[in-house]
Order: sequence, then C-alpha cells, then structure tokens
Amino acid sequence: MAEVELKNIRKSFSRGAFVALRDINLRIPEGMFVTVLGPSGCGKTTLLRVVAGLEEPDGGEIFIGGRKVNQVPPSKRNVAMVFQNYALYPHKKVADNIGIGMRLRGYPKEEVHRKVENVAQMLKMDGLMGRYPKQLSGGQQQRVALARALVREPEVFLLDEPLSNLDAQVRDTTRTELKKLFKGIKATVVYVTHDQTEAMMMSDLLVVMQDGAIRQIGAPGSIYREPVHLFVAQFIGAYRINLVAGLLTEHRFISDDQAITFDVKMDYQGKVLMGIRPEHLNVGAVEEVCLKGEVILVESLGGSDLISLKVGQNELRALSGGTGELHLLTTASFSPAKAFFFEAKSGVRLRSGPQI
Amino acid sequence: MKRAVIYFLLGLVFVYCLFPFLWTILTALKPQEEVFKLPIRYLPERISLENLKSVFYKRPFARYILNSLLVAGGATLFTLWAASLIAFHLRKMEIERSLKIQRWLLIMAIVPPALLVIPVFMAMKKLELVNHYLGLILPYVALNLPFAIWMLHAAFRQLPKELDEAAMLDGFSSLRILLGIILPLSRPALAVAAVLVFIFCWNEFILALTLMPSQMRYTVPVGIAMLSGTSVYEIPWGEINAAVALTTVPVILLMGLFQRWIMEGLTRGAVKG
Amino acid sequence: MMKGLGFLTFVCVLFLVFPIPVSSQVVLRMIGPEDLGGAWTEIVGRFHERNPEIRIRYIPGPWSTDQRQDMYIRSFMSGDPYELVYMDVIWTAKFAEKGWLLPLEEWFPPEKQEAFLPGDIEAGHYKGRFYRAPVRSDAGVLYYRKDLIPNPPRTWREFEEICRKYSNPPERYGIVFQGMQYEGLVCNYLEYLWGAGGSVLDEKGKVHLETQENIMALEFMKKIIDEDWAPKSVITFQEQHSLEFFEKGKALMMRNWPYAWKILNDSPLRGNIGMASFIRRPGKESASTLGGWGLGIARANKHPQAAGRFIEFVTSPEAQKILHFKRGAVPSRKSLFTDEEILKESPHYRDLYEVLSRARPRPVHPDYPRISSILQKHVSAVLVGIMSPEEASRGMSRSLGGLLKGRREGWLKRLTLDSDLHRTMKNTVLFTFLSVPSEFFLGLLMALFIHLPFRGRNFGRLTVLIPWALPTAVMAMTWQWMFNNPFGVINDVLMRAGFLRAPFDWLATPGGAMFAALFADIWKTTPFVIIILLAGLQSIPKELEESLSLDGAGPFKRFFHLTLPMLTPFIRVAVIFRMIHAAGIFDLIWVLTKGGPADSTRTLCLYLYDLAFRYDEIGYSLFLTFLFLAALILMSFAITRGLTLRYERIGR
Repeated sequence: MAEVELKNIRKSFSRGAFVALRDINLRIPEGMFVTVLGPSGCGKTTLLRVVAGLEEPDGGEIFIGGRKVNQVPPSKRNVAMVFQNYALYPHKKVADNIGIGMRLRGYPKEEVHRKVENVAQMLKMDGLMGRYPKQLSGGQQQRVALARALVREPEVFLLDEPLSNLDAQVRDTTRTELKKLFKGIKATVVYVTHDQTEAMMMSDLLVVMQDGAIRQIGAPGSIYREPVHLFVAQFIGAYRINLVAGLLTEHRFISDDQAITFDVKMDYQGKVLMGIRPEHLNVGAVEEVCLKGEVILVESLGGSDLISLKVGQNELRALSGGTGELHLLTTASFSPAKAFFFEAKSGVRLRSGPQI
Repeated sequence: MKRAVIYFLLGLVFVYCLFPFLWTILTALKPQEEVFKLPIRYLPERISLENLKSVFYKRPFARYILNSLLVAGGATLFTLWAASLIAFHLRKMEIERSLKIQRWLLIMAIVPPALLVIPVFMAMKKLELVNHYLGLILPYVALNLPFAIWMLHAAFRQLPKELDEAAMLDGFSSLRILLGIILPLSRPALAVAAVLVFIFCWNEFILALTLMPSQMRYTVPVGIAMLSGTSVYEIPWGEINAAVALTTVPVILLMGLFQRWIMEGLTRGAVKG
Repeated sequence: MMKGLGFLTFVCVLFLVFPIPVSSQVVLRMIGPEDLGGAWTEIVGRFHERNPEIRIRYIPGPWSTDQRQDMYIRSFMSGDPYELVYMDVIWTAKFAEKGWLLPLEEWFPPEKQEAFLPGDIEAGHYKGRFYRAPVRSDAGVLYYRKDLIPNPPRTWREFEEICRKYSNPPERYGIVFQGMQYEGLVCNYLEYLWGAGGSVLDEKGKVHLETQENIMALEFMKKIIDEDWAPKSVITFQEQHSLEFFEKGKALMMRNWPYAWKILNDSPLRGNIGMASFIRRPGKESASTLGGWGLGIARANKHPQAAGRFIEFVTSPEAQKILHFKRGAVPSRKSLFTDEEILKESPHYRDLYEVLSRARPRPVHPDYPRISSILQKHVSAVLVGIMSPEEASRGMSRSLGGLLKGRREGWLKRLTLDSDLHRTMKNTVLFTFLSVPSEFFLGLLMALFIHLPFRGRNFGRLTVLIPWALPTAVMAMTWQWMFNNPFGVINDVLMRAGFLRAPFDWLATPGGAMFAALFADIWKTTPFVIIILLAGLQSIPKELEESLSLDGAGPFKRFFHLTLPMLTPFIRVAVIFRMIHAAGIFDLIWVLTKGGPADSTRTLCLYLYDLAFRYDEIGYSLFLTFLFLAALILMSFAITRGLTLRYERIGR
C-alpha cells in the first residue's frame, strides 16, 4: 500500500470555461480510507480520475508511494479503479473479467487462476465464475468489479460512487462489508461519493469539496462537530441543519424576527447565521435555551420523529424520541454550546478563542 | 505533431471521397476542346458553360429533372404519411411485439431492388401503370417503408406515453394526437427520414429504367445513362459530366444541410438494430 | 406545417392520378440514332406539310443498336409501344414472333416489294409474312486508302502482305474494325467466317460451328490483333470509334458500313478513299454481312393507316434520296442505283450494288439476341486472349446447340447446362468476396479514424457520407470517364506517380474492368460500413476503455479485446447488408461495362435482367431469382449464426 499526495493540482475543461479543480493540495496517508465528499459537479470524480491518470492535470504534481507519476500512464501507476457503472466487459465471463488485468500483464495462467479463485472466495462469489455480466444482479456485478480491482493488488484503490446504483437495502450491508474488507487488507482507499451518510460511516478521513476546492479535511467526527464553513455544516449531518438569520452583538444573539434570543460567549459584532442541528434541538424544556413554537408537521421515522416547529418567522425541525405527548404549542430547547455561528456574508464559521 | 498527422489523414479522406465529384465538375466547366486535350490538364484554362447549356438543349433534361422531382417528391410524401401512421400504431404496442414486426419488415427491405424488377414490372403492367408516375412511386414507397417506419418508430417511442394519455383526457382523437403532438415533436426524425427517402428515390436506377421506358418520362439517372454514345464521333463526355454535376450537386447540398440530423438518426437507429 | 404538407400531398395526388394530357392529334413516335445531317428532320418536315393531321416524332436515342432494341422491347412490354418500329435487320424475327408487329402487305403487296433489293425484302419476312419495309440497306465494306495502297487486297494472304509492307504501328496500322463485344462484332466475325467458307447453321438448320473454317476465321482475327495489324484498342471500338480512327489517318484500311463514305469525303481524306468487297480465302466467296434498317408498325398502334402512309413516304424514292444525300445512307430501291444524281455523287455505287445484292443475312431466328450474345462472347474472348480459337469454336457450338435445344428442357436440368448462369455466378461470387472484405477493412480504418476526437470531426463525417449519397448510375458514368483511355484521370495519376509506363485500357481488359467495378463499388459503399461501425464505436461506454487501459492494455490490445468484440453486432448487420447488396449489384455494372468485356463483369442480376427483358424468358428468370433469394436468406442466417458471440445468445 502507498500514500497518495496531490500538490497544487489544477484542472479545467472546455479550454478554461469550466474549472473542475482549483489548486488542490491533499495528502492521503498509507492504509487510510479517505472519502472525497461533495455535491455533483464539485470535482470529486475529476480528482479521482486525475489520481488514476485518466485525466491529465493542467498543473501540479501527483505522487503515489513517494514517486511522481504525472507522466506515468494509468496502467503503470499500480492503481485499481471501481467505476460507478462497474464497467464490466459484457463479452467476457466473470472469471475472465476479473483476471484480465493479470493476463494482459503476462502472468502465467495458473497463477492468475489461483488469485482469481482467492478473490472470489473472499467476496463469496464462487458460483458466479462462469456467468456473463448480463446474467448478474446489480450487487453481484458490483462484486465482480470489486474483485477485478482486488486481484490486481494495487497500491491504491479508487472507487467512484460504487454504491449509488444499488438498492437501499443492499447498500447498507455492502457498506459494512466494504469497510471490513478494506480494513482487513489495510488498503489505501480513495472513495468518492455524494452521500454523506456513506462518507461518515466508512471513512477514516473525510475531504469535503465544493466547486473544485477542498473546504475541509478531517475525521468524520471532527467535521461533524466543528465545521469550518456553512457549506460543510449543511452538507454533513443526517438531517438538514436549522438556520436562523440574525445579529450577534454584545455577547447576545438576536434573530431577525426577535423570536429567538440568547447569550453567547463569542465576541463578535455583525450579521450572522445561527445553525443548530435537529438532533441537538430537543423537545421539551430540557436545555438552556427555550423556544416556544407551533407544531406544523410531524415526520415519523419509526423510532423517532422530526417535528417541524414554527418559532416566530422561522421553521425549525427537532428530533424527538418519539414518545411523549405533542400539543399544538410545544417547547423546544437546545444548548448554546451546540450552536454554530456563521458570518452572514462569507459563510465562515465564527469561533470563540483562537481561530483554527 | 499528432495534430498534423490527423489533419493530413483528414485531407486524404477528403480527396478520396470527393475527387470523382470534383473532377466531374472540373470537366463539366471546360470548353469542348479542353475536355479532350492530352496531356490532361486538371484545372480548366477557360471556364465555359457550354456543356451545361447543351445538356438542356440536346435532350429534354429539364423534363428529366421534373420527372425525378415528381417521383421522388411524391414517393417521399406518401412514404412519410404511411410510415407515420404505421409507426404511431406500433408505438402503442408493447415493445417486444412491435420490434418483432419491425424486424420482419426490415428483412423484406434487404432484398436488392434488382431482383424485384421483374415481378414489380409485371404487376405494374397488369395495373396499367407502366410509364405512369404512380407506377414508379408505389414501388418506391414499398421499398422505403420499412426504413421509414424504423426511423419514425424509434423517434416516436422517445416521446412518453403520458403525452398521449394527457391528450386523450383533453379530448383529442387519435388522429389529432398524431398530427398535433407526435409529428410536430418528431420533426428532426421526419426531416431525416424525408431526406434519406428522397435521396434514395432520386438516385434509383433500375426500377426507373424499367418502369418508365418512355423517353419523356426518364428520371435523371436514366436520362444520363442513356446519354452515352449519342454522337458518331465521340461520346459527349463534356455534356455527360455537366449532367452528372447537375444531378449530384443538389444531393450534396441536401446532405450538407441535414448532416448532423442524418448522422444522429442513422446512428441511433443502428444501435437499436 | 401539417396543413402545408397536406396541401402538397393533395397536389401530388392530382398530378399523379391524372397524367399530363396529350394533344388530340395523331402522334406517331419512333426511335432512331442521332439525326446527324438532318435527313430525318427533312423527311418528317415534308411529310408534315403534306399530312398536317399526322405528327411524327423522331426521338433520338443512344447510338448503340442493342440499347435501342432494349428500348423498343421495353416499350412493347409496357403496353404502350412506340408506334413506328425502326428496326435493325435482326430484330424482325423476334418482334414478329412475339406478335408485336403488324403485317405490311396492305401497303407493300408483292409487286411493290420487287422494287427493293432482294436481300432487304427477304430480311423483312418472317414465316411467310412481311413485317418490315426496308428504308436503308447496308452491308459490310472494306475501305482503303487509295493513296497509300496500290490495290485493295482480295484474299487473306494479300491482306497480310499489304499490312506487313505498308503498315507502321503505332502511327499507322493496317486495319481497323469493330471488335467490342456487341452486335457489330458478330457482323465482322461472320465476314471472316463466311470468307473462310464456313457458316453458323448448316442447310438443315443445325449448328455447324465446330469446324475447321470457324477455327481458321477466329485464328485469323486474332492474328490481325496479335501482329499489330490492328491496334489493341480495337476491342473497344464500335463503328464510330473505328471511323474516327481511320479518319485521323491512323489506319490503311477499315471495315465499316457504307455510311462512312460520305463522312470520309467531307474530311481531309477526300479523294483518297476506295471501297472494296471484303477479303476472303482463295476459292471462297467474298462475303458481306447484311445490315440495314426498316420500318414496321406496332400492332398495338391505334392509327395503322397513318403509320402506313408515313412508311410509304419514307420508302419512296424522294425520301430515300434525302437519306442518301444528307446521311450517306444506302438506299434500298433498286432504281436508285442507276439514278443519275446519285451516281454523280457516288460513282462507286455501281460496284456497291453488286456487293449488296449478295449480302448475307445473319441467322434468322427469334432467339437471335441470344445467339448473337453467345457468338459475341466467344469471339470477344478469343480477341481478348482468354480463349483459344479451338476452345471458342467448341464453346460456341456447344452453347448454341444447348440454346436451341435447351429451351425445351426443364428448368432444373437447365441449371446444370446453363453456362451463362455458371459464368455469372462465378463473377458475382468473385465480386462479392473481393468487395465486401475490402470495404470492411477500409471502413474500419476510416471509422476508427473519425471516431478520434478532433476538431474537424463533423466535417469528416459529412465528407465520408457523400459517396454513398450520390446516385450509383450517375457516378458510374463518372467512373467510366475516369478510367477512360486515353483521357482518363486514373491513368494520368498513375503514370505521373510512376506506377504505369503507358496508359492502361481498364475497361477493355477483363481484369481491368473488374478492378474498375470493384474500385467504384468500394468507393461508393464504404460510407455505409463506416456509419454503422461508427455507431458501434460510439456505443462502447468510455469507461470500458478506461478500465481496460487501467488494467494494462495498450491501444492494440484494447482493440482486439474490447473494441472488436463489442463491434460484433454492428459488423454483423453491416456484413449482411453489404453482402446482399454486392451479390445483387446491377446499376453500377450495367452503366459502367454492361457486363463486358467478354462477359467478365457480367453479374447474376444482369443476367436475370437480360433473361427477362431481352431473351424473353421470364419464367426461367423468376425461377433463378427465387433460388437466388433463398440462397441469400440462408447466407444471412449463417452469417448471423457465425458472427454472434456467446454472450449475446444468453438471455437473462
């Protein structure tokens, strides 16, 4: 396994009309599962392809395992890629699909056969060897794509939204299996997705991208707890973060409609957006800051409910335990420590104490 | 460097494909003496329109053009109408059944026209349609229907069935749905089909030769083929080339105008096929 | 838009259902060669003056008599024939046999017939009835340069001596004649055959060609070409080409028809031309093939009286004289050979009369076109060098015998006997199996090229499409011009590039003609292959290529492991379409070579067409068509089977 490093990578398409990557600097340590996360068009797939060698960057350097690979063609970079659509060769049997990489490099037949068998067992695909891709289900096809990558024993695995074409049920199990698998072989993985749940659950390190630039790098937990930007806070988190526009002045937050006010430790003057996650907004007067609001909507999740409250001009959602009574007028509360403040214009998160 | 190679190859392709046509035009524009001068000069020293003029003078070439236009135009219109109706109906069916029917139609379309001449001729003779425009148009429609249906069916299928259902709820009759919704939305496919059918009919030779043998009814290709060997001394190559040029330039113009649509239509169809 | 289309359609329907109205006058049409000299214009004009209610339309047609015969046959078969049938001497039997002609005794009772040359009258009869009034007579004649040769040769040996002594190829050859594979060749050939004492049929009407005389005649003809006494290109010559050649002073002698006299006397050679009867072997009769043209009336004609009147006028001394003076035509009325005006202009007519009185007709048989075709083919084969005189004489005899007998045989038996069928099948197979792989090879290369992303790509796609969009028949004319000798561009380019030292006569050589046809066909149909393959290339998801390149495959490996297999369904479609089209090819060959030279480019569809429209064997033709179609369908299935990859066959 190897580490991957990107220095000052730039890439644009259509002769500069569309900038896909702006000055990317990223270091992926050996053996880490790194997810590149972001909305469509943010450049994550381009980044992956640049590492693979399928796209040539306009500027910057790429290092795999310490050696500079800018001029090295994809087949010699010792990377393996699993495409979103699996890219299985329809005219070859499963066994041939998996083994073709090795065959092309001249490995003897028996060795190829042995390795293919190993991988097949690892992924529990024994019975499928003689079939053709069109005879397989989505999940099976994905395993073949995976097997093809595994058998190459590359230095880096690149996966491009591999779960996006699977049913929700299958996705869940596969997620876990993938994580276990890669951990088992201590692989360096670069994983691209737009699904934040996936990203949070699987990665050792998260890279959040927007419009061709990296917004934040960090472990899932720290990104969740300490987003540096409004975009990151909105993107990460199972449920949409509640945002209230207001003013921060003399250690006090006052929302624009004056419905929500509380004291803060922060020393800042100016317009801000206050953010509080639904999971930190509790039903009932449990925490410091209390709000009274009218229940507009209840979205049931089975074990818990998302309750939409109208507080002043704001509509906030709170995650509740599911039991307990609900009246038309209900109290919700949160702790100010869990609230985020973002500068209204730039979206940058404000913090008390030293800025990170 | 790579770009230079590509453009060189492109140039080769250009020469290969267009040289006969260019040479024809060059010859057509030469005055009589230059046409037969040896060694061959490629560019005319003097551009002369005498060949073009004499084409119309020696033979009723304008009449030939009219005949071709009538036959090709008529065949195209009829084919499109018929194919629209049939494709519309096919669209309503489940897709497997419609594809099966289409496949059978296509099988019939592969037969080379040369093999069909004799039976068609006999049939037209019985119908007393020999030397009559309709006698040539009907076979043309028959030959082109499978292809036109194929193209239009593919295009119609692209339109969601929900459109029809909404229209039905609004009170449209089937025919109105076809005329008012489906056809206007399929203009590109219609245009492509029309152009290709027209070109086929314009170029067709053996059926035209056999079914319209009267000199006044010749279509352009037949007229040109019959131009050969009309003089005692020499075959009038100057005029022949002029006639050829006259015939081929419109085709090329048509192709140029509709090029993108044609390529799309053909490739899309080919994938399905 | 819909309204506009609807209106257009309505107009079209109107136009089509009601044909363009015809005038109410009586209109009689006839087809003839280009009216040089204006003889016909004058004749028709004078007739119009005296008969204002009748309109005669003289339609100029191709120079080739075979083509005009085809036009007449087609018009008869269409049910709307040309009312006046301007017939070559050899058409009478066939047209009369089919019942297409009206007997002419009403206007030409036996007493009137006496006024014309006996040979012409005989040629106008079939099975006892008279169908064709002679308009002009004709017989093969030997022209020679009085200023260059002291006396014309009478025997073959004298001919050889004169050639050896006075000819000087390539500036000046000994003789020029008509050696192309067409009816004129038979006329030439018969003069040698008869001059050797042979004949086609014996007195009992049986085929009599496997004889010494025939072999001698063929050997002699071949020798003339081999010894350079005639130019090699003579095998592409018809009358007008040999005339042009002789007129330019490039030959000492010429075999042609009497019409040439007038033209030659209007040229710089005036005064230096002599006319003689044709050469023969010692002790044998000098022979001359009877030609000539006459007028008949189509039976379906609605105005036989008017037609009869016109024919009477055309055969009158007045009209015959016009034809003579303006056209150089030889009259058919005996009296005109002693007419003062004519003798003043053409004193040689006194001698010509002798020749004409003894001119011999070609075999009179309704199947004459077929007979002629067999003779043409074999003689042409000898001249071109692909058959020896012995082989040819045997072949002629066998084919002709088979023909005269075979009509009665069942079709299944004929399959094995029909040598034309075998030949055309071989040609078709050769053509198909040379053309289709070449197109694929070329098409694949070009498709791969155009598939590459570069700026001029769309331009490339359009360019490539053009050959396919142009009319085949029309482009075939262009190809004829490009392969022409000596004005052809192809020869020029090859010579400048150093590949050829001297111009090559493509269309006159069997191999060359086939090559030209292949070249033209490949040029035209490669675009079709390209389009289909392009569609296929575009259907391969880019990711598969990327994945394979990640797996370590370079461009070549990618091509063989991925591109080619995934193109298979498209290749399949293209192969089937192309193969069927190549096997059924007609337009290109008909216009480019008409199946020649020596039947080397005659494909199956041409044969089927001739069978139906020229030889009048529709039943047999349809039978063969049916078999051919069945074969094509079987082949398509076989190809589909053979070219389907395993993964396509498996369902879900």
